[in-house]
Amino acid sequence: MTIQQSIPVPPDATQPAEAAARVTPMMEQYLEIKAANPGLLLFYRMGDFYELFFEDAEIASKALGIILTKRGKHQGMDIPMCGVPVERSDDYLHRLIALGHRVAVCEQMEDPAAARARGNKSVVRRDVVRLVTPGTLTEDTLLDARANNYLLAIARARASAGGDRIGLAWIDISTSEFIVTECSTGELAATLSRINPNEAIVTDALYGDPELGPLLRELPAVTPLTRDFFDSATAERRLCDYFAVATMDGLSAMSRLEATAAAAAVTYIDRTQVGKRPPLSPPAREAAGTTMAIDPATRANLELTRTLAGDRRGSLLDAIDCTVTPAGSRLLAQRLAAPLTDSAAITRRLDAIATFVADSAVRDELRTTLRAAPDMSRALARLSVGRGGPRDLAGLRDGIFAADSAVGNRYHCRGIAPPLARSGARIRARAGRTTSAD
Amino acid sequence: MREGYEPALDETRNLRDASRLVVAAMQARYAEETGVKGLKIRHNNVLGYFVEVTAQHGDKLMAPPLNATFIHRQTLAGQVRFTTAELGEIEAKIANAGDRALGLELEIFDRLCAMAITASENLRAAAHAFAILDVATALAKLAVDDNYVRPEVDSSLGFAIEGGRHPVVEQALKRDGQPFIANACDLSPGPGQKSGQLWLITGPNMAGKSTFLRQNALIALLAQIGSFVPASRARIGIVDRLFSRVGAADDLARGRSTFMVEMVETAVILNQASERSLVILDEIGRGTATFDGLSIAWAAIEHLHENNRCRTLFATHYHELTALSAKLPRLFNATVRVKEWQGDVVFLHEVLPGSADRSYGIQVAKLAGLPQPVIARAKSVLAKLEAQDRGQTARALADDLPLFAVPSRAAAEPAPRSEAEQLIEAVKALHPDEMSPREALEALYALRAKLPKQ
Repeated sequence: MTIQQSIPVPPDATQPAEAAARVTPMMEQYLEIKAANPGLLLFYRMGDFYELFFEDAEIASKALGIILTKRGKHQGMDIPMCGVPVERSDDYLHRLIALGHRVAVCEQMEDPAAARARGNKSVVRRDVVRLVTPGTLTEDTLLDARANNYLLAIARARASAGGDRIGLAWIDISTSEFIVTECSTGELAATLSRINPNEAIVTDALYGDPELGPLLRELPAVTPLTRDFFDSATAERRLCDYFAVATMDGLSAMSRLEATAAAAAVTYIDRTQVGKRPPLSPPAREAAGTTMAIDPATRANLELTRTLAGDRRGSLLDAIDCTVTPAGSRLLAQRLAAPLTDSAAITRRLDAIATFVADSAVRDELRTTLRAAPDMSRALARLSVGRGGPRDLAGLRDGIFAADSAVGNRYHCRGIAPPLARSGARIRARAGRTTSAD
Repeated sequence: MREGYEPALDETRNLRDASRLVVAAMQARYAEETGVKGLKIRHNNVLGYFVEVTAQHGDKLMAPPLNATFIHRQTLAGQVRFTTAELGEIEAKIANAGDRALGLELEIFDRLCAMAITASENLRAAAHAFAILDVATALAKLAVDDNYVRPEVDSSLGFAIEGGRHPVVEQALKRDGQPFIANACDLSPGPGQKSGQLWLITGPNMAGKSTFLRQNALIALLAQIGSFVPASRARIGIVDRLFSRVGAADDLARGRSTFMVEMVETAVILNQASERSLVILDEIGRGTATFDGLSIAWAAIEHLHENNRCRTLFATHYHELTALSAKLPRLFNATVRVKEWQGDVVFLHEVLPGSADRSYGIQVAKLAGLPQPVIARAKSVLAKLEAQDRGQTARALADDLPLFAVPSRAAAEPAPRSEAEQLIEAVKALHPDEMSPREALEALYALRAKLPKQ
């Protein structure tokens, strides 16, 4: 399932010979790449600009408020065009994504000199290197630091006697989180509002479903996909392939329906990242009934994360959020969206807080340490897909130092953060080598 | 990259930087050899490194013996530019060293990235641990700063809050230097009862009913995310589902009327709420004609009490509903305390057992700034209506539903009543659930036009 599928015949090929002859080699290449990426705006790299043509240009110029111009003719008509400078393209991408568009970024794959060397009429080789969609972002500039950015795959299993089941898998590739669960159709609304995805993928059939379709179309961005993404027969194999394991049994116990949704999600990610596979945690399964069910109307009404007017300010989350790191803020939002129903788990959390209520010195010291810790999981995700910079490495370095300093205090917080103590000890060994680099 | 990390990189960098020194030394030497003090060695992207002198010295360098060393490249208006074989060599070295340094830096960067990715599992675990610690310390700070207590969370059906506060409203009031009036709420099953209680809260608008309702939902929610809660004491039996509804605003975007939205949402609750659920209903039924609304609220309460058996807070302005406490053993009447003072109403924001005797709607309208003549007129209309109501003692009967009953002997009354009656007739003729928002708005204007002019 690569990006360059078998390419549909470009529209020109069906034209009479003289009309087809007027298509420039560059435009021929453009149309070919465009046809391979239906439903996406194509950012076509030309020197220092990404150019958009035809309908894409009209959509983008309107959405971004940039000038629509023209370049050459196609079948006797002017070709509408607009462009954004490469070095400021993140900003434009951000605005398009926020409006729910999806973008295919097409780069020049060779030096223009190499193309000239092949002959006069040669066009620079170009390829799509990435699809930018609302649910598959890693860039700091495109992400809200204090919110998770989830891609959600929704699969349905039809039952003859009614009572269809829904499998859900959601992934934040910027933090590697990967969760699956199952629910009934009646619980779908509450589950969707709890997950609050930035992009959802569903089958065409589900998208057009008279009962569930309207619910899905209320989500910020929904992408209907062909059935092969949601093929349950190949789901296990696609998951194994992504995680490079022989069987998923060792990684995670999932129902068949959950696996189907999970496979759809990783296939979509694989496709949007064009071969670069961001590392994901093995799917964590959320058992039914482990969280308090809160439907969308109740969430809105109690102003949990947004006021009725839509502001964060004035919401419960805003009132209780005293965290000092973006990752902490994201975790608090997650917890607020999904209160627990297991009193033992609640008691563990309360114990942790009680410890820090009682010991203000340790609390303040830890908060100072944490304040210096950068957003490690997102830096790591960027480095993994080759989009990281020295700043991300420096972030990891500061994070390791912070972990080191927190581990120094671990006798104070034993039982509260065993993962920190464990991983801290392990990374401490590496710290000496890695941190001296920058 | 810091110096001292990678010897190969340091060496290349030294070469690059040393070459620059060589260029500077060369410039000094050339200046001496040629006797041209203003001689400079410069760099641009077209020529690379070159020797530049002012035009007046140009001829000197182009004449023997200096022209053996200096090769003329370019003549500009004020300057003449030359290169030398020596300069060409240095240039190549510098470029190479620069390229090599950059290459090495990239190589090291890639190596470090690979190391980071190898360690990613540990790093991610550390990042997650940080987030957990951050949340725990942040909630602890909140608990200390805003005086929260540790809730007792268990698997009972209990729900007992003492000194409960609304976390958001409290903070807002604090900023204005005002105290928040804390209130208790106990929905735990009473002695000998198996299910939780249903509190029916009456009282005027603006007195804090909605705040009270929401604060209890939020305290339960905070307790179950494992946070301390804004109360002096709280015991919460795990809530499996939380429902909160308010007589809704018009949902114009989806073309549903207020009342339709309300009923759809109420239906969800009546169908789904279990004994473990917590249900908050605020002014349900106000979106339709008075009798319809009252009947629906009445039936909904009975259903919640008998079938769902969930812990419920139900705020209403239908005082008639308080009569249900005679019939439903787990229904408890509570009211928000107000004081009347010189004809105005003072809100005390205290929730107490009992029921409000009246809604103080006119006093609230006065606070809202309705014109004095309208207030006066409304008072006289109300007085008439209440005078007729007094004769009926039906309120005591749980299965009777007296409400602003329209008297049958209306004809005998003077003009004011007949105007009121016309209005009532007009209102009764409306069917909000069959109206589009636009029709509803037009009907509202028509009603206003019928108001007596003063």
